[in-house]
Amino acid sequence: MTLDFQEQHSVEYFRLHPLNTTQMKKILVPTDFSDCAQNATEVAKEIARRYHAELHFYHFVSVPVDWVHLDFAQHTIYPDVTEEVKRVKKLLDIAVKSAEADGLQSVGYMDFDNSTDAVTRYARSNNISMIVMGSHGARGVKEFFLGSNAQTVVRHAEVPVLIVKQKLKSVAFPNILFVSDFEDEMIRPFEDVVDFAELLGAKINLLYVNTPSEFQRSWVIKERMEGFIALASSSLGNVEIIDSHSFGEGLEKYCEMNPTGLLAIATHHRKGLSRAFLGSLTETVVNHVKVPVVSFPILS
Amino acid sequence: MKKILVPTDFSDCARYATDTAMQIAKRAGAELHFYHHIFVPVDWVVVDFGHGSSLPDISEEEKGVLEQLKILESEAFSQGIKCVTHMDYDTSSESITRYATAQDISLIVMGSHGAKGIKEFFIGSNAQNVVKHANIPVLIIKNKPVIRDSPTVLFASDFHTEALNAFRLVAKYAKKIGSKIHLVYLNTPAEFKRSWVIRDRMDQFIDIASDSLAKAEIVDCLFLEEGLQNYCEENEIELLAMATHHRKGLPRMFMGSITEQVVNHMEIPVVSIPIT
Repeated sequence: MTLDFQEQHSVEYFRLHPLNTTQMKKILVPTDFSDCAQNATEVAKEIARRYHAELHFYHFVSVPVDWVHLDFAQHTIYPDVTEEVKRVKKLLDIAVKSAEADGLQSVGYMDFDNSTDAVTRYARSNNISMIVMGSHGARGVKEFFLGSNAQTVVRHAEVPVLIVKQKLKSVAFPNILFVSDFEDEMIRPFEDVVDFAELLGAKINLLYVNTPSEFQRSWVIKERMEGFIALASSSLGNVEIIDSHSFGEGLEKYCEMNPTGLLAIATHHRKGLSRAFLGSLTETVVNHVKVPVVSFPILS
Repeated sequence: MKKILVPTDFSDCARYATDTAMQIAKRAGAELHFYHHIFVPVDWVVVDFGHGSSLPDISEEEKGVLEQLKILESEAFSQGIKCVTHMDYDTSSESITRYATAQDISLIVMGSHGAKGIKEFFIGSNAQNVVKHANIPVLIIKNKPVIRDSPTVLFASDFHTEALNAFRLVAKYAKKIGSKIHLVYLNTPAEFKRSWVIRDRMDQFIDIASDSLAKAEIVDCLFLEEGLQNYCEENEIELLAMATHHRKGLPRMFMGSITEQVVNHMEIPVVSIPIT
């Protein structure tokens, strides 16, 4: 399946408010118009204000047939889908209008592409610089689990993905916790973390979770951390190594003892099969904390 | 501190211990006890004079030892230190500590040959033995004894409550001589503890150290020795203090005592405080 082939299917171009500038930063908000998505939208708006960025609302409609290639007359055969498309158009319109009312440039987009990386493909072709999305299941047990949608996006995205789990009062986080193994490949994404922290005016705390199964000597860890400490420079907060039996447990305990506003991690952008087999650090992280998580891709 | 015992074999190594002991005795106004034991083939003490002449080697050695002890004694006197010497014929492994108990000694200072490589298992066994059996603090000197007046002290421990009393003693002396104390827990994958559990345990010790506290840290390492060595180098530790379990009977053979291992590997002086 080539990219071009996919692009052809990426369909009914629905720009409510086309924009002419391509230089501007763009923030993508995949939305299903739920409360959860609404929380993410609010966060995205605040970040857009700080970045002077444009907002892209994105929704994907599941269609039974090759909807895009049907003509208008054929649409009438599928009244359900027609209804749904109308409804989504309306909701996207509302979202865009509301963003504009807040003084933000905004775009709405409806996609019929049902492939797993539709969101990230949109992000790529539209030069999106950050994705902000809600994660589903805000009740009971599910609270801690990352929705499969968010999971997929995190795994495929080539730009930072901010996952919002709860309604936030503000994005003026006092601190960002960067949890990492501090390998050399993490330096690149960490540069983005530092930029993001500066944008938000937050301090960066560094955390290494040491477990018996993947044990490192503390002086080795500290040596690895040095480059990160230097990069963080004036944004640096606390630096800590926590010993625990599992990564999730250590992280949870740390957040319990140190109020954390936002969690930042670097995630391997996985290609091909490994994506399915390798457990994602991001998922562990998101499953263990309530705070929003921003994942920065490690691009090879 | 009233009496300091210095077991000596008159080697260079024992010399370092002697110098350190004199330094401490002078500051503390303590009495020095020089102790040497000689190995005798028979029950020497009950052999009468006539038989003694039939074992000329022993007689010779005895004379030599008495002479050396005399030299140490006069050296101590010349520095204004009260001094007692003792030659022992007791060959049992606990002879030194038995003497210490009988004489109401409050500190043992002794040298230990650095133990590297294969020799590790043979040398230094004297010091290890004393550490195992003594119910008073034992200060082990490895190298030239330049202990500053206020050495930086590292207390390495598992921070169980049973080590509290031993640590109180460390804190008391540290305060007296103006030393700073570092508290370190060595976390190894083999005996892994969660850091918040360790921190919890450390709290009481931090309280006791109060103003003398320099740092309380957890060091992750694969082996205790490397963790200690690394920390000591980075933090310029001059004296290592450890609480040591008294293990009587069988368990001693099965449970390797941390202090014993450490005594063998550290270049800096180590003071072992028995957990009573």
